[in-house]
Amino acid sequence: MDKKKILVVDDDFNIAHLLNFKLSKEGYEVEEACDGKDALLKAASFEPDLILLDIMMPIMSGWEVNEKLRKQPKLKNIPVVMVTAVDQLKEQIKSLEAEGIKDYITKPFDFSELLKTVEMVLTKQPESNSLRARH
Amino acid sequence: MKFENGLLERSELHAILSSIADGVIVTDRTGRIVHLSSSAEAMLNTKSDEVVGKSIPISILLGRERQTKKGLVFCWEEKGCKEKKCPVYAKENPRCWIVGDTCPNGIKQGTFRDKVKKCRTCEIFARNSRILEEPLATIIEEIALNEPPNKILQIKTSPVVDELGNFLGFVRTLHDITLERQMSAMKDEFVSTVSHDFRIPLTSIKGYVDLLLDEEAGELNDMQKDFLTIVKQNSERLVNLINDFLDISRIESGKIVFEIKTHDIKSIIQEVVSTFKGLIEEKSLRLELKIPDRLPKVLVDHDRIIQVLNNLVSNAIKYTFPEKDIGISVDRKGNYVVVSVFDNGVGISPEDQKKLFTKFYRVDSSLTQETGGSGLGLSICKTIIERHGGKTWVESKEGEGSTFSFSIPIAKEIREPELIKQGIRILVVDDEPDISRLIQLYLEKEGYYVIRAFDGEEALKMAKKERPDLITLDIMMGKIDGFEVLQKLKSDSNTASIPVIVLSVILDEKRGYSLGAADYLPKSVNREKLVESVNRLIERTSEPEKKKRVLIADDDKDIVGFLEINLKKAGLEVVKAYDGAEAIDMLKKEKPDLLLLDLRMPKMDGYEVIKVMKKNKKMCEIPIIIMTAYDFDHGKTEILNLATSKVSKPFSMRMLTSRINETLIQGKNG
Repeated sequence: MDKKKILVVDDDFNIAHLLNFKLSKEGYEVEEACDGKDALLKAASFEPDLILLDIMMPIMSGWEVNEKLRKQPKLKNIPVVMVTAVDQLKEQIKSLEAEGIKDYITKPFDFSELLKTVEMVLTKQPESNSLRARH
Repeated sequence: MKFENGLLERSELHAILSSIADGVIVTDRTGRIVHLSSSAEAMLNTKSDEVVGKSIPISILLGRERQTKKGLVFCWEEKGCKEKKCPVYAKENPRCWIVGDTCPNGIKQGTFRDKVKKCRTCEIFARNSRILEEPLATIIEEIALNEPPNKILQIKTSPVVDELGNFLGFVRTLHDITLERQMSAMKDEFVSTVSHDFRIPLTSIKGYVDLLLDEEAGELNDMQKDFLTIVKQNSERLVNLINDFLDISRIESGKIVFEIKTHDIKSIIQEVVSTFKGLIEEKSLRLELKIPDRLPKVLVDHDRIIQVLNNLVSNAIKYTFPEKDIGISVDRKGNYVVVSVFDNGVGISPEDQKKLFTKFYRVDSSLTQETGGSGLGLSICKTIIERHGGKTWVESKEGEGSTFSFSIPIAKEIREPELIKQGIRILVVDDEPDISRLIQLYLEKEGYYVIRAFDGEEALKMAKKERPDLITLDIMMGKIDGFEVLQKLKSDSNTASIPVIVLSVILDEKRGYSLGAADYLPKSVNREKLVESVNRLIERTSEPEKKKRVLIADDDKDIVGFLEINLKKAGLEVVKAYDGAEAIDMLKKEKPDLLLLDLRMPKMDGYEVIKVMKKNKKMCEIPIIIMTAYDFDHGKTEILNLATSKVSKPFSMRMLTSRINETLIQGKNG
């Protein structure tokens, strides 16, 4: 089976790097993006199975990135997990019920929690891959 | 002005009231404003002579956006203005002010309806409704005015009671706390920004240390591992500290809206106990639970109470030496349930006990050195419990152990549904008098009205004649057995819709259900299961059409509004009339099941209304409850005797609701 691909988006490159390192070790293929614009470009070229998305980024927030993803037919089925230091995100996600966002992780995170979430979202999303294949 | 003879003159009293720096508003017992001090005038940007003498709900006085342009005349005082002129009226009847649209929980957005709905679930509502029945406590509220300069006021409402104990009205003091609130908003903003900015670098610290410890960057020797573990533990401690910080600032500022619901305290405790099972075993502690079997439900936010208990239990574990005891006990004290977490631990000195619940206070002891903590935990607990309207305290002896206790309010909802249920009748069919009596007792305790039949024939007769709301049915009976009774009930259109619960030692559920039983319970009768089943079925059958309709006829808008809210809460439908003529109109149109009648009304007074009703065939059957603030006119006792019952204002809501329910049952039986 092919390696699953994960795009990591964070304006703090230490954190992006950290995620990249750990997820690569776990056998995922990982790309890093350092802002919203970069994330959208890489999402199109790298075609990830999952995007880990920071919320508080300069210029374009994670919410905006997610909205833009949903508007593009090629990208709209990629699941997103929010990774953020904003507390009480649970409420925010609930209230926004943003399309495409499957889960969230608060910073700082435990690796075990991170890996569990990633695995769960990836195994839950077989239909998104098949949908994407049709395009 | 002299204040000389030891007694104050009327004019002097007035002068004193007007000189108080805080705003003062005095209302009489009907809600009419009798005094508005000059500082209150300034705070509310109103003039005393515009409002004194009028019955203006205080919240409307405060919520200036609901004022019409023509001074302080409100739409519902103008005839014929219902939907169009006032947007608030269209959204929701504005008389729900009594439950406090000024919810200090920070519910400010949304329509009036939203506010009231949310208020009903929040603790303030719970507290307010309690206070309305025991009007001797002072209510403290915080209100943000909608008009510039957008002052924030703390309002204390105290009842005025004369030396004979008569309730005269309310006095409110208005204290400007705008500056305090602005400061605390700044503090909250600061805390939340700082905590966010702390998390980012902490993410890297914790993450890379974890990588090193997982030996992802190469093997480590023992000393390296030890040192990195210290870094890791301390970064985690820092994270907890930040979370505690945020938590307390949010709870204190009211940013966290508590979801106050009815909960079973026993199951909450069990949840907590299961969380700590591992830790307790690890330390070889003995856990003791002292929880009585029958406890009333409590009115709390589930997650917050779990947070409090988690904190207290983890403290108990932390400060107790291995192989000693810790435990949780629950007790009922009046309107509260008291939960205590006790331990045989190190204990706390009297000096420390005093400061224990203050922020950042940590007891110095050899044990705390290794255990660590933010010093915020107990302070958070205290704040949470206070927001529930309860108290937190500690009893401790050094070297012997400590007991941390808190009180939380008992859910009123337990009592309120009883009042609704009183109008509901259940036919209990059983040939064994003792069992029948037992079932009757069980159901009566739940507030149901029980009638009994002792054999099949009698059961069928009573079902047809009495049309009960529900039937419990035994199977093994002489002459006609239960299955036959069930079949006959279901084939008769008069009784087919009555839900039947079969209670039997014969476990032939299939046959029971196929004949149309709504539920099938085994004997001996399990109280909880029976009650649960009855409640469920009653709720299902009574929801849509069973609501009784009450017409309130009173010219005092505040009283009508107050009654409306409370009667609706008690499961009744409400229609309103503001004078006698309107009442007669509504009686014709709406055909209420009951009339709540004020005697002194414009156009046509209560006596006239009764006279008209009793002459009219369609209306003469409607039961009447008279309510009046004045003494009854003894010259007209003949007319008064035509009413079903009387209550004098001020009355307690509980008394009135039970009177209403009694009357409704009588009407149904007669």
